[in-house]
Amino acid sequence: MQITDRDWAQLSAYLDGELSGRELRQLRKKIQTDPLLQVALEQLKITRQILQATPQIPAPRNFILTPEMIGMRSKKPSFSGYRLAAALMSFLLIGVLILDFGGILFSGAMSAVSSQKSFESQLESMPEAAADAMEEPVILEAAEEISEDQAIAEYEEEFADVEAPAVAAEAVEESLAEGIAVEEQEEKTQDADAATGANRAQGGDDPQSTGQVLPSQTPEPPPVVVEYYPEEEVYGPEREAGISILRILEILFGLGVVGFSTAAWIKRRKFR
Amino acid sequence: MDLKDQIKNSLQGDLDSFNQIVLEYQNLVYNQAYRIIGEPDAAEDAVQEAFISAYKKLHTYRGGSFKSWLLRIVSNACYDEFRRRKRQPVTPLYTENQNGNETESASWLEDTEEKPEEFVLRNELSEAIQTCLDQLEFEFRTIVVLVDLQGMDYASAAKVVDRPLGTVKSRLARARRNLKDCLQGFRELLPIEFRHLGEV
Repeated sequence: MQITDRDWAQLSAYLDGELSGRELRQLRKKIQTDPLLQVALEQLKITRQILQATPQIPAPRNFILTPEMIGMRSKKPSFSGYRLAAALMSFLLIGVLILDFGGILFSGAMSAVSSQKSFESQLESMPEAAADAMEEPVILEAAEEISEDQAIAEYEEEFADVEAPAVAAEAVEESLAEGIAVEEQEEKTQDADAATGANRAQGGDDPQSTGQVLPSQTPEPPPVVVEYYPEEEVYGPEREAGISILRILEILFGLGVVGFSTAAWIKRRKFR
Repeated sequence: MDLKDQIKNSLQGDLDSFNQIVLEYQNLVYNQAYRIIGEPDAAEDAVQEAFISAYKKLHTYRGGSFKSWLLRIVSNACYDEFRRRKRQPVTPLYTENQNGNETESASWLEDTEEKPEEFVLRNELSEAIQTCLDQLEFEFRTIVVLVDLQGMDYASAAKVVDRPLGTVKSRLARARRNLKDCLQGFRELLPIEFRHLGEV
């Protein structure tokens, strides 16, 4: 029977007392029954003893360290401080530049967005009037029996308090005008029928009858409110004249980058 | 001043304190380096590098066995030196033993496996052991030196060579087996009680 690598490893660990309880018991049993293992163990034991008995060689000299040894090897020129400072300055400079130019773009974009938003919000602020205005002709059509004066009064009431911007006012005005035009046309048709009937009955002609009604039908247009947008909102805040703080910082950081980079370069060159 | 204080003072830049540690450990470190590298000059270089490196890396020592920590640095320095010498092999015109005495003949240039008797006659036991150690691979050699010559346990040796415990165990067994075979050629040098080292 041949001794395996595992057996050698077990025997070696057994000599060093590095086997666990179970492994130890198993190996002991194995050694008792296998004479080859007994010889191998003996040889390993001797080898180990020889190695352990190897004479210690005294150091041929002292290896104490001198300041020169440490200084020469450990003290490297400290470009790193200057380099770090230059890098830091660069980052700051980039940051300030982003803040500066980004601020301009941002304020411009924001003003554009805000003007757009304000316009939309103003449009949204009057959906009732606009909707009413759009629906009005239908209502008028449906309520044919409502008198003209009543309808006009309703319009006047509705638009008396509405302060809408010019665009919305125009929309309302248009829709109102359309409503009135429809109404007028219907009235005209009715009047014409009535007049025809009356003329037929009286045998006369009354062309003024229509003209008397029309002026009173025309409702007063709602007051046109002209919204004033401050110039700042549209074009952004006016830039300050002269050198701003950001400009000063940019200059300072720029000088810092150049200064520290040059210092690092000079020091490195001197060292070389 | 104990080791703890010496380390503390060294960390504060006190080179004298560190040199006390150097004096205390230099024999141990030199033996480790010499047994691993096998050449006195290279071992000296490795030891000096190791102490310089230890001084620089002293802040990485986090307590525990200072010997293990130091021997790990030494093993790394030896490995660097070993690789350096392998890249640029140096063949001295004369050879010397570990005591610095020049050997009488150039038999060290010959293949010792072919003519072991001639080699054995001119060398001492430790040199025979060194010859056998030199035939091992670097890591096997390091492990056997750590365990058998420096008396470290498997766990400490595993930390030094940065290998699992099982690897240390198997490599040590293999190294011992190879050394056993190698030492058979130096039976006359061995103490009488060891001369019956036979083959299995």
